[in-house]
Amino acid sequence: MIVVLLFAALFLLIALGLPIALSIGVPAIGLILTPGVFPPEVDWSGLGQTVAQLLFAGVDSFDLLAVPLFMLAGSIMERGGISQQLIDFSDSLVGWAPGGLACAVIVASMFFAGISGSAAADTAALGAVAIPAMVRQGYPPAFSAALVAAGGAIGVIIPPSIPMVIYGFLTNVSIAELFAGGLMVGLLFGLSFMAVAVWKSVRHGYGARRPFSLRFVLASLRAALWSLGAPVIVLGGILSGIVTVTEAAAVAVFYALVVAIWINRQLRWRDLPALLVESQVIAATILFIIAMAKVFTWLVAMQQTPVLVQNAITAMALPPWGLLLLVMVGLLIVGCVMETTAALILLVPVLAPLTIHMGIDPMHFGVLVVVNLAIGMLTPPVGICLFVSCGIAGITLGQIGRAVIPFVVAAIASLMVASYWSPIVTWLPALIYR
Amino acid sequence: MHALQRASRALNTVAEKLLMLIGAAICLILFAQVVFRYAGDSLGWSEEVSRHLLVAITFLGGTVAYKRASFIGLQGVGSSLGPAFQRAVLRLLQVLTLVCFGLIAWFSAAYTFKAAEHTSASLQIPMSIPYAVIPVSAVIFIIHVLADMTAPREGRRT
Repeated sequence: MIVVLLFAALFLLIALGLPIALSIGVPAIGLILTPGVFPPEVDWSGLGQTVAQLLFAGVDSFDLLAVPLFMLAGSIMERGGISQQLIDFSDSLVGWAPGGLACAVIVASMFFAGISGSAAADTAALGAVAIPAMVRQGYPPAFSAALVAAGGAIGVIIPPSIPMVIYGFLTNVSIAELFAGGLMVGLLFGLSFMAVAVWKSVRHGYGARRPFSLRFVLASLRAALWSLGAPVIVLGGILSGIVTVTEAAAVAVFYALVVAIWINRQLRWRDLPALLVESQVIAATILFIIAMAKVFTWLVAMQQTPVLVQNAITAMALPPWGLLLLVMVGLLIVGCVMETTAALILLVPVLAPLTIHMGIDPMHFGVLVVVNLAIGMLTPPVGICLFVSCGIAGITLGQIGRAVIPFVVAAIASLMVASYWSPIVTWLPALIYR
Repeated sequence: MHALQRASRALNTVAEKLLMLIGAAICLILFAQVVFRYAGDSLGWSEEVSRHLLVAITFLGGTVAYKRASFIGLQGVGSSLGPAFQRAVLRLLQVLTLVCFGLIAWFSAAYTFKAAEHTSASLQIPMSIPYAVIPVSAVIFIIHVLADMTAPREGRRT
C-alpha cells in the first residue's frame, strides 16, 4: 500500500514538473516521517537521522567519483577541438562509402565514446561540428540530427560509461568487467547505425563521396593522434589493471588538459574554472538523484517489495529466454518515459537478483540494462540525445522523432543479438579477467 | 532587491567557488594517489578525503543546479491548463520542496552534532566535518526556494 502511494506520488510530481531528484525524495522522506508508516515504537527523530545517514551513504563511494571526473574529461576534450580532428580522421577512413560523411560521424562517435562516459556530452560535442557539415553536403537536418543522436547513445555503451559505473556501484559487479563487456556491443551498434546511414543515403541520394586517399588518411591521423591517444590510455589503463576506473578518470582529466591546452591550443587556462563548475554541476544532478533514491529504495526495501516482485515474477515460471525477453521489453518501455539514472536506481535492485532465473551472467545482464537505457535516450518523450541534437539542428522533437525511427529499429535488433548471443558480451571480459 | 534574493545570489557565488576548488582538489588528490602508489608509497588518506569531497559536490552542486534550474525534469503538464492553475501548481511544488529541505536540514543537523564523537577511519577527524555539508546545503536550498517564492513576478522561474 505504502509502496503504491510512493510510486503514485513519484509519477504525479514528475508530471507536475518537479525535478526528478525531488520527485523521488519528497514522497520518500515525507512517507518515512508520516506517523503510522513505521510502528510507534520506532523513534521519530531516529528515523529522521536515518534519512540523513542514507543521503550521505548514498553517494559516499569511491566508484561514483568517476562520474564528475569523466564529465570533466569529456567537456575538456569537447572544448579542446578534438571533434573536428576525429571527424576528419574518420572521414578519411570511410568517406569513400555511400553516405560517407554520415558513416564518418558514427565512427567519430565511437572514438569519442572511448573518451567520454556520457551520451549527452558525446551528442553535444560531435553535433556542433557534424550537423552543420552534413547539412552543407546535402543531408536533411532531421536525418543529420537523428544520426548524431544515435551516435551519441553509443557513448554509454563503449567504455568509459557513467551508467555502467552506477550499475557496478549498485550491484557490486566489477565496473572494469562491465566496461570490457560493453566494448564489442558498442562496435555492433556503430556498424548497425552505419548500415542504416548507407541504406538511407543510397536510397535518397544524400551526401557526397570522396575517393579513398592514403595520403589523406596519414595526414588526418597525424592531426588526430593525440586525441586518439585518450581512449587508448583510459581503456588500456583500466583493462590492464594499471589503474582503477576512478583513477583512470583522473588521469583522463590530466591527459585531456595537456591535449586541449598545449597540443591543440584551443583551451585557455582561464576557461578552466567555468568548465570545472559546469561539469561538477552536471555530475551533481546525477549524484543528487542517487542520494535521494537511496532513501526511496530503502523505504521500498523495508516494505519487502523487491521480494514480492521477485516472487511474482518467478511464479510466472517463464523459461529463461522468455523472462529475459520480458525484462528487456519492460526496460525499453521504461527507458522511453524515464530518465536513465532514475530508471537504473529504482529498477536494478529489483531486477539484478533475477539473473539466475534468466540463465545469464550478472555482468552480461548489466551490459544489457545499460544498452537498453541507451536506446531509451533515443526515444521520445524523454530522450536526452534527441533533446540535445534537435537543439543544435534547430528542428522540433517531432521531426527528429520520425527521422530516428530506423536507428532505433537497428538498435533494438543489436540489443536482441547482444541478449541472445552472449559471446559478444562475455568473450572479451573472459579473455582479460579469467 | 530584496534581502532574500541578495542572500541567495551571494550564497550561490560562494557555492560555485567551492565547487571549483573541490573539483580541482579531487583531480590532484587522485592523480597523486596513482603516482605515489607506483612510487611505492601509497597514500592512506586519499580515498577517504576524495569520497567525502564527492558528497560535498553532490549537495553543494545540487544547490547550484537548482539555482540554474538545470535539475533533470520533465516539462510540467500544468502549462496547458492556464496561468492560474500553473501558479497554484508552482506554489504547491515550492512548499513541498521547502518542507522536504526543512526536514533534511533539521535531522541532518542533529545527526551532524551527534557524529562529533565519531572519528573517520584514516584521517581521524570528527565525522561532523564531512556530514556538515548536508545541513549547510539544505539551508542554502531553503534560501533559494524562499527567494524564488518572494521574487517579483517577471523574475520568477517555473
